[in-house]
Amino acid sequence: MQLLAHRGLYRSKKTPFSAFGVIIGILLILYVLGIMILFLWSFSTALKTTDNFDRDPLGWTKSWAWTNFADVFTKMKVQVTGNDGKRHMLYLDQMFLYSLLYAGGSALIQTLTTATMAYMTSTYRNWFSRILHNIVIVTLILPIVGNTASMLQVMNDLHLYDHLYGAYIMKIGFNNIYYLIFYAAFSKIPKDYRESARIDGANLLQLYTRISFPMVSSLFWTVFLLLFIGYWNDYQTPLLFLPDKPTAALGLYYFLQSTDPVFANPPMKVAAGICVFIPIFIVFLIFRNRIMQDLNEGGIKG
Amino acid sequence: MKQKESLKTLPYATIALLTIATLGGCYRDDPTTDLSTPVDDGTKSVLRVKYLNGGLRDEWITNVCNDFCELYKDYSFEEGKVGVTIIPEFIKSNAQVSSIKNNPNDVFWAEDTDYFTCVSTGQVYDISNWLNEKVAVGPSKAEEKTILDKFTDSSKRYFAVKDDGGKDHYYAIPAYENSCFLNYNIDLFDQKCFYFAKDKTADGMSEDQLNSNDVDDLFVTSPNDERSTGPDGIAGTFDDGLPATYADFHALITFMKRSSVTPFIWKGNFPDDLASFGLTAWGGSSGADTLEACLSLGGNLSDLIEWNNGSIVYQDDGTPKHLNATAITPDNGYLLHQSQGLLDSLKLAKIMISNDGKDKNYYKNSMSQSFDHLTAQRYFLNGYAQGIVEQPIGILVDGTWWNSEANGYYQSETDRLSRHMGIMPVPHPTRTQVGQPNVIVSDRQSMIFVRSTIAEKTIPVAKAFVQYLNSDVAMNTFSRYTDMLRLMNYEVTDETLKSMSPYGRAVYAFSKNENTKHINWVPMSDIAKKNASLLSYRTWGYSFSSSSGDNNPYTYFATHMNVSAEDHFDAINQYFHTNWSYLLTK
Amino acid sequence: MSPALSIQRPSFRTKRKKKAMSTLFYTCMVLIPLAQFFIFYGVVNFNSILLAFKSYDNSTGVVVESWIGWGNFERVFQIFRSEQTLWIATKNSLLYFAFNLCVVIPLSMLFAYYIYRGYPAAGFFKVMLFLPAVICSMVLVIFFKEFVETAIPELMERWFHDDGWYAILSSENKGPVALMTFYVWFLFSGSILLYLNAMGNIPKSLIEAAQIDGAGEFRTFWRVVIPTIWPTLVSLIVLALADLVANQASLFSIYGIFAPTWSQTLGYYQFFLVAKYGADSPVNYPLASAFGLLFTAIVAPLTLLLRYLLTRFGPRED
Repeated sequence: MQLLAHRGLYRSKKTPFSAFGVIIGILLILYVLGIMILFLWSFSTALKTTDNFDRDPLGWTKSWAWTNFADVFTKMKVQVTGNDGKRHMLYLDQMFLYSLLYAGGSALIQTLTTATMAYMTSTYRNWFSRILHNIVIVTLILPIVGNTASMLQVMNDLHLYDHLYGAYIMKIGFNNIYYLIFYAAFSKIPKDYRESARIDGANLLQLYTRISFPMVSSLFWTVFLLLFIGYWNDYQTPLLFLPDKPTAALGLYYFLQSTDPVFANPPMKVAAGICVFIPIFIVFLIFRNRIMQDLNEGGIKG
Repeated sequence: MKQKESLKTLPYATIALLTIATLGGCYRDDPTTDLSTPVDDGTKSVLRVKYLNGGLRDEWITNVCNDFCELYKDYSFEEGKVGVTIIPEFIKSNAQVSSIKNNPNDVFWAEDTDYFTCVSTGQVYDISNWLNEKVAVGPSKAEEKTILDKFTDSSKRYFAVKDDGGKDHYYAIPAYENSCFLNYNIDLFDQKCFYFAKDKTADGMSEDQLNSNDVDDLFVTSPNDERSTGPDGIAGTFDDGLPATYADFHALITFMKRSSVTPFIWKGNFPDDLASFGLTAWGGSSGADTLEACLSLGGNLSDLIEWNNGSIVYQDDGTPKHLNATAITPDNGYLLHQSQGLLDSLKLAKIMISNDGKDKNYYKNSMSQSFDHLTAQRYFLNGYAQGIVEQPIGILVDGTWWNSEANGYYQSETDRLSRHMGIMPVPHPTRTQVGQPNVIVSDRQSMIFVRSTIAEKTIPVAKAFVQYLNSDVAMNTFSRYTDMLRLMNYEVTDETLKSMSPYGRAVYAFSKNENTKHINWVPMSDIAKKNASLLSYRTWGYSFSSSSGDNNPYTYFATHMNVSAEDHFDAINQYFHTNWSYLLTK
Repeated sequence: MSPALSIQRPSFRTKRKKKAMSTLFYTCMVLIPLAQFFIFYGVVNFNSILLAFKSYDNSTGVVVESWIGWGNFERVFQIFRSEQTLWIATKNSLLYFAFNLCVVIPLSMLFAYYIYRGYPAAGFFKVMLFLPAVICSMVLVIFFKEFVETAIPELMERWFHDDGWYAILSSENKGPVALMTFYVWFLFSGSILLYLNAMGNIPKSLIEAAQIDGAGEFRTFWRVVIPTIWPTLVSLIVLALADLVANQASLFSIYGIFAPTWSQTLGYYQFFLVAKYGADSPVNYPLASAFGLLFTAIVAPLTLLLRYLLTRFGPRED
C-alpha cells in the first residue's frame, strides 16, 4: 500500500481511479480552465493599446504594449496629506510600501495577539480563560452587522482615524478563527516541557517565549502569511479608515472608480490589476507549501 | 531541514522588508514637479489653491492664476513681501469635507460637496464680507458690481445661512453651470439631412407609422432646404429643423436608424447623466416652477395629474385628468410627483430606450458597466471615422462639460474649432407646448470656498484672489477655455465667444436665450435644506425613486421593456405617497 | 526520613507569591487585547446600538443630534413595506446563502476529497483552488468585469451572431448569472484548506477498512469522510449563515454606489448607506445602524439554532 502521507494525501495503490474521481476531476478541470482563460485574456488585454482593444477586444494582443505596465508605475497616483501636513503624490511603488506596512504590521500584531491569548487561555485554565474562550466562539458565530458607522465615529473620537497605528490598534484582537487553531496547538504541547523549564528556573514569560512559542512558531508564521495576504488584498478598511495611506489595493479601487483619462480604458485597468497582483503572487509561489500546510483546526467542538 | 532554514530566514526577511518599507515610505519628489511649478521663495505672499481638475481641465485656472499674480506683482499683502505666489493643487480629486480644515490649501474649487455639512462642521470660512464688496480686479481697480450682485436668486437662497439674529452669512460661491443634454453632431445632421422640413411634423402618426419608412417624408432632402420652426416655434433660430414634439423625436430616431446612424450614445458605468437629463426633460415639460416647487416644497402647481388608488385617473378622451391649481406644502409634497412633467419625462425616456424590435436606439455598449464617459465621447467624435464603430453616432447624452473633457480626442485645435456640435433642446410632449421655455438644471453642487483655518496673514490675498476669480474677466477666461458658463450673472464678451468652439457658442446661445430658465438643483427653503440628502444627484432619490426600488428610469426601462411610462409613474407615486411621512424630516 | 523522601513543600507564602506572580503575568498579558476588544467590539457595538436611536440634522449650519426612539426602526419596516429594494436584497442574500450551501460547500468538499485522495494533478489543483484567495478581490473584479462586458459580448456576436449579450452586468436576465458565477468561482479557496486539514485527521485505518469492506469512493466519502469532518462542516455552514446579512458579494467593487436594484444584497444595501456620503456626512449612519441591529437580532439566534441542530442531529463518527 503506497501512502502519500508525507504530502498530506492518501491513496492506496490498490484503489482504482473510480468514476467518482473522474467526475470530480472533470469539474476541477472546468474550474481551472475558467480561471486560466480569464487570466490569459487579462494578460493579453493588458498588452493591448486602446486602439487594438477597441478593434479586437477578444483576440490575442497584436500591439504588445509593454509600456502599459510602465505607465501604471508612472501615472497611477493618489494625492494624500502627509504627516508633515503637506500634500504629496503617491505612486504605485509607494503604495506597495504602504501595503507592506499595513499588511505586515497588521498581520504581525494580530498573529502575535491571537497566539498570546490562545496560549494564556489554554495554559491558565481558570474561569476567566473560559469566559475569554467562549467570547471568541460566540463572537465568531454571532454576526454583528452595520457597525461600520459606529467604528468610524469611535476612530475619529480616539484620534486614530487615518493613522497606521490606528489600523494596528484595530488589529490587536483575538476573536478570530486562528485563535481556535492556536488554542488547539498550545493545548497539545505536553506540560512536561514547561514544568522542566520551571524547575530549571525559567520565569513565566520565558515559559511562553522560550518553550511554548517556539513549538508553534511554524504555525505562527503560517498564520502570519495568511493574514498578510488577506490584509494586502484588503481595500475597504484603508478606504474607510486610512484614506491618506493608500495601499496598492486601495489605489487600484480608486482607479477603477476614477474618470482619469489615462486609465479610462480596459487595457490600462487590467495592466494595473496585474501590477498589483504580481508581488503577492510571487510571495505565494515562494511560500505556497507553508501557506497550504495542515493547520489542524479540527472544527469547533467546544 | 529545508523547512527549518526557511523558518529562520522568514522572520529576517519580514523584518528587512518592513525596514525597507519604513525607510522607503518617505515621499519621493513628484516627477511632474519642474522649475515651472511655483515655490515659496519667501519674498512673496503665498496662496494655495486646490482645483478639481476634471473635465474642465486646468488651462483656464492656470491662466487666471497667472493673470492674478501679474496684476498684484508689485502689491504688498503682508509686511516684507511683495507680490503673490500661487501654489496649485490641480488634480482630479475632491477635498474630503471632514478634512477641509486640516487641508493645507486655502482656496478650493470643488464639486459634489455637501455645503451644509461643510458649514455645520466648521470647515469653511465666512466670506460674507468679501461678497458684499465691489469685485476687485487689481490693487486699485474694481468692478461696479459685488460678487453677491452676480449671484442668481436661487444661489442667494441656497448659500445664505442665517445666524441667530437672522442675518445672512455666505460660506461659498457657486462655480459652474451645467446640465445634461442631447448633444448632437451638427455636421452629421447636415450630411444626413436629419432636419424636419418646413411644416412637416410626425404629430398624429401611429406607433407603427413612427417605426416605419413613413417618417422619411418628414425630412429635408438637402441641408439648405427650408426647415420647420423647431421646439421654440420661431423660424430662423438655432433649433430650426430639430424635433419639436415627442412624436417628431420618435420619427427622428427611426429616420436616423434607417439612415444607418446610431441615434444615441452615453456612458454606462455611472448612469447619473441619464437621470440628470430626465430631470431636465421634466422641467422642460412642466416648467421651471415645478422644479422650484420640488426644491422649496412650496408653490402653486396646476399641472398635477389626478392619481387615485394606485393609478392615474383618465378623462373620457384617454388623457390624464388634472387637479385644480394646488398649493404645495411640506405635508403634501408627495403631490409633486403627480406632475404631468414627470410623466412626460418618463415617456421621453421610453422613446429613447425602446427599440423597434430590431435595433436598439443606443450604442450597444451604452448600458455596459465598463463603458465610461471618455470612451463614449471618443466614439461619438471619432469612432466611425476610425473604424471602431460600425455606424456614425448622432447624439451624445452628457453634461455640457463633455466638449472640454474630450479635448484630447480632437486631432488639433483647428479640428476642435471647426467641428460643429450643438445642444438639441428637449422636445415638447405635444404641439400645444411648442414655444415653452427650455430649462437648464445645474445639479453638480460645484462651489468655491475657503477653509475656516486659513492663516490671518493669508486672508487678504485669498480675498483678492476669490474676488478676482469671480470678476467678469476671469469668468470670461473660464468660458473661453471650457466652453461652459459660470453659474453667475455676467456678460461673455464677443472676443471670448469668437475663441470658443462652435459647441461652446451653442452652450452660450442656449443659456442666454430669453426662452431658457435656469434651475440650481439645491434646496431652496429651510424645510428643503433639512432634507438636502434627498436631492443628491448621485442617487436621485428624490426625483425618480419608485416602489420597484430603481432610481433611474432609463436603466429601469432598459431592463423592463414591457413596463410603460404610466406604469412606472404609478410606481413612483406609490413610493412617495406611501413613504412621504418618513422621507420628510421636519 | 531519607533525604529522597524529604521533599520540601513550598511554604504558604511562597505559594501565595507564586499565585500572585502568575495572576500578575496573566493580567499583563491579556490586558491590552482585552482593552482593545472592549473598545473595538464592546464600545463600537454599543455606540452602534445608541446610533440606531438617533438622527442628525445639519441644515441649520450646526450639527443637531437628537433622540428619536424607534424612528429609525420604523423607517426600516417602512422601507420593507413600501419598497421592493429590501425584499429583492433579502431574496438575493438568501440565494447567495443557498448557493453557498448547495453548490460551494459540497463542491469544496468534493474537490478537497479529490486532493486528499491524491488523484492525478492533485497538487496542481490545490494551488489553483487556493489562488483566488491570494488575489485581491479588486483585481479579480477588474479581470472579470472587463471580460464579461467586452470579451463575452464580442464572442457571442462573432461566433454566434447574437448581439444580445452586451451590458451583461446591467441586464436583469443575464446579470444575476454572471454575478453568481463570479461569486461561486472565487469562493472555493477559503474553505478548501480547512476541509483538507480536517480530512488529514481522518485515521487511515478507517479508509482502509471501508475499502476492504468493498465501499467505493463515493460511499467512502459519504459514510466515512463526511461524518469525520462534520464539526468542520458545521463551522463553515454556521459561518455562511452568519455572513448572510453582511455579504456584499463584491457588488461594491463591481458597481460602486450604482448597483442595480435587482442585484443588491442586504450587505451591499447597508454598506451603501454608509458609503453613499462616505465619512463626510453622518446623515445615514443612524439608519444603517438600525438596519444592522435589526438583522443581527434576526440572524444571531438563527446561527445559534442552526449550530445546535447540526451538532445534535448531524452524522456521528461512530
